[in-house]
Amino acid sequence: MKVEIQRINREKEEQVLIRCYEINQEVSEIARFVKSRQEGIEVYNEESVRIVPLFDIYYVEAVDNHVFAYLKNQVYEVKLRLYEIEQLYGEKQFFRCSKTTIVNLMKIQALKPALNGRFTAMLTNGESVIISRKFVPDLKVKLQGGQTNE
Amino acid sequence: MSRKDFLKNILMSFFIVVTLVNVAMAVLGLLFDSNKTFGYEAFVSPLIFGVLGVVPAIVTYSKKELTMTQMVIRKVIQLILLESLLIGFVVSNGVVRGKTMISFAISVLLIAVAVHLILWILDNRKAHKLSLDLEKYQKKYAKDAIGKI
Repeated sequence: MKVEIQRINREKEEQVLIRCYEINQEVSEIARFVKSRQEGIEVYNEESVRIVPLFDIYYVEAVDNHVFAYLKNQVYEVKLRLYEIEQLYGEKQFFRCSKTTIVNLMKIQALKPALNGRFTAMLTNGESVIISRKFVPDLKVKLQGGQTNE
Repeated sequence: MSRKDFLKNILMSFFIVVTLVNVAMAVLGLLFDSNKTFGYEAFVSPLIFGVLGVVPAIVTYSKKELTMTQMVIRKVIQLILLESLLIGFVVSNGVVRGKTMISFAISVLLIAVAVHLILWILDNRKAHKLSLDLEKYQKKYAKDAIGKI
């Protein structure tokens, strides 16, 4: 597939146009990637403030009154409370999996049993997060198409 | 884990323990004292062992989410308490003596392992089902995202 990038003036709207014979797997993946980059969340670290796409966040965790967003290799602080993130993005691919954690369902590779009725979500970056027993029924509902976490 | 979930877990463990104690009593009885007969009170002992078997699970209760290591440590403490409690019970009641004590301790260990194994198999089945649902969800979510473009 030929890739062409055109510079435009600031007054014009940026757009990605895919010209194809048919919408196959490859085209779908490109479209999905572009779409996923559009929504972001403001994050901070010692050096900078930036917007990271929701798609890049693996999980969000509350630690001692601070909320952190975990990306593939970086960690940033988020100036939102955990419940606010849950309210804002709970309808999307984010799921409250324990008292302190919200996980991106699109970043889970597999689920494995942990001790005492809990489950471990193995993430695609090699990390893992615990899914509390209390939240397992909600997860089931969410995966089967229903909305939870509200 | 909430108190309600904890109690649910305890109840499930109780019924598994009662069943396995029945099996262990039958096997040990046939091996060591096959001619002995019992009255109706014999039906009560698996229930007593069931209650004693789940009491040490209290050490695994925590309002905070325990890490895997913390949980494993607590499970080991639970097992030690379980062995002590049950051995203490049978010794003080004169139920088991001498050689059979070792068999009893091993039986308790085997039952404890079997309970965890059964619970793990059930959870593993659940995890497999959830993983399949997750895969479908991820495909559907990605497809829907494209549809919105």
